[in-house]
Amino acid sequence: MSTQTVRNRRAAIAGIGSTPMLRKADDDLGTVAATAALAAIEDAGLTVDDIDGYIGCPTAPNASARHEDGVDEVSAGFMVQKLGLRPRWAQDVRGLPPTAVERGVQALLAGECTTLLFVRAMYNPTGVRYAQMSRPLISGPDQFTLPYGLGGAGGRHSLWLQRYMYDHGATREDLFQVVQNARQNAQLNPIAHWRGRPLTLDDYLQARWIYKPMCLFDCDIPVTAAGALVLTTADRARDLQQPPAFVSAIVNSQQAAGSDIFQALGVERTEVQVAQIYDGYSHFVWFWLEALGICGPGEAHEFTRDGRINLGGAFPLNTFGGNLGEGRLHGFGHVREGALQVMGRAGQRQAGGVRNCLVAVGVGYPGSTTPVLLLSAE
Amino acid sequence: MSDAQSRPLPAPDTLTRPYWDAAFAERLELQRCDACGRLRCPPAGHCPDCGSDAFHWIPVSGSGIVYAFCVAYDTLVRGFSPPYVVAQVELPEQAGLRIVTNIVECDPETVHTGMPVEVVFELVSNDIRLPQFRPVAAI
Repeated sequence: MSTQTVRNRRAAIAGIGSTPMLRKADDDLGTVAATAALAAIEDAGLTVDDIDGYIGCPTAPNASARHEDGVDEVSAGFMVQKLGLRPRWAQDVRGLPPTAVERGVQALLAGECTTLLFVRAMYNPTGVRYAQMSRPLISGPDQFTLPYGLGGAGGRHSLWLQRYMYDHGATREDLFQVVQNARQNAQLNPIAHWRGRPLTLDDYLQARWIYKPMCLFDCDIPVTAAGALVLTTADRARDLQQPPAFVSAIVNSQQAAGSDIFQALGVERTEVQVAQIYDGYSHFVWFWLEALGICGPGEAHEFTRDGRINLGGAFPLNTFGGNLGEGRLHGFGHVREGALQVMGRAGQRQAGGVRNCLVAVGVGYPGSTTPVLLLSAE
Repeated sequence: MSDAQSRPLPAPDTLTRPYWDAAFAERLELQRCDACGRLRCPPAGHCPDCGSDAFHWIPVSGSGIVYAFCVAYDTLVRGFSPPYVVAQVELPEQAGLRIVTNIVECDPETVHTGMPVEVVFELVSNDIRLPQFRPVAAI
């Protein structure tokens, strides 16, 4: 099993950096990315000269993206120059942050480098809607969706949500439990976009529709922001200034789906105290919970009731607020929070007795290739 | 529902041109795999079930039921005026055979899962007619 290659805590997150979430920004994305990168290096007690590896996942995922290096994306080459790095190994991957973590860990364990910087920067352009689609002629598979006004992720995923609610009798009050959990936890996260703005059930039920049954607050909020991690081998990590978050298992979601995720991760269910599960749209949490076998098929809307997923509940989820509460860092926040929780550095939102945190990023149904991570304390 | 002047239009290619040509002639035609006989939608060069690249285009009945749908109240696609319905319609020819479409000629809020619908063809440019579905009229 692929998890064997990274079990036994052979690599770790040793430094963490994040910028605040900026709703719309004219800020230069290279500066935003460098701010997070330098913060992560400092957090690890290192200097730029100690970094000999770089991994990025720079792709701007929004339909209005220009895909210009240094404008709405920052490539490995751009960041190497920007920070004055002298890496032995540098690479970009197409994917979400856990994919970059996996590739980075592989590079560390292969001896390609010893101390690796990972950066994810997201850009929400001014003067244009984040996901506006404006192509006049549509090629490829989209020629069977976009001419019907089925635009981008929201439309596609709203169909899955509608059918789920129909099949299982799930209600909007059920879905609010996921959104409210995110909002509550965002109140305890100093960099969360929605900090200071709790959400009531009435607010939620009266929010405008986007693609009904999906409303405004079921969608994450685009931001300009960046996050960075320093990863290194376990032995080095133990000598640095922070207690590290070990990357103790990596399971590809193609393998994870339909199996017992805890068996695949090599832990008992009761040994995982907290989870960060992707919530680009609120119902992704339900799909993940079922795909990973954390609850049975059609049961997730019941699983997320009664405070079970809240801080202090039996299975706290998205303790930093998730994409829905913090902002759309496309899953970087989930990895960062997983590390902070096992390091014991999550402040007011620290869950109790955290030894292991599950991190699942991506859409949670067929086609996802993003690995599920288990981050662990010493 | 839409502004035909600016909405995105399909760009037919080698694979998809027969589909759009048939639709322009007001026929809904899908690929049927020569090897395993399975229908597929949208068009693909290889059968998703058996991998064969041999197929023929065959007409289907154009009836169906709404499998899943959303009502777009805000849209990111130019040329559309919300609210409008986007649905997956399941076709009776084969279990799980679904087509993405709008549900037209009705109040968006009356659309429901399981609703019987039938194909109509909407002229959206000089050479494209989109297969669309409308509720089957109550008898």
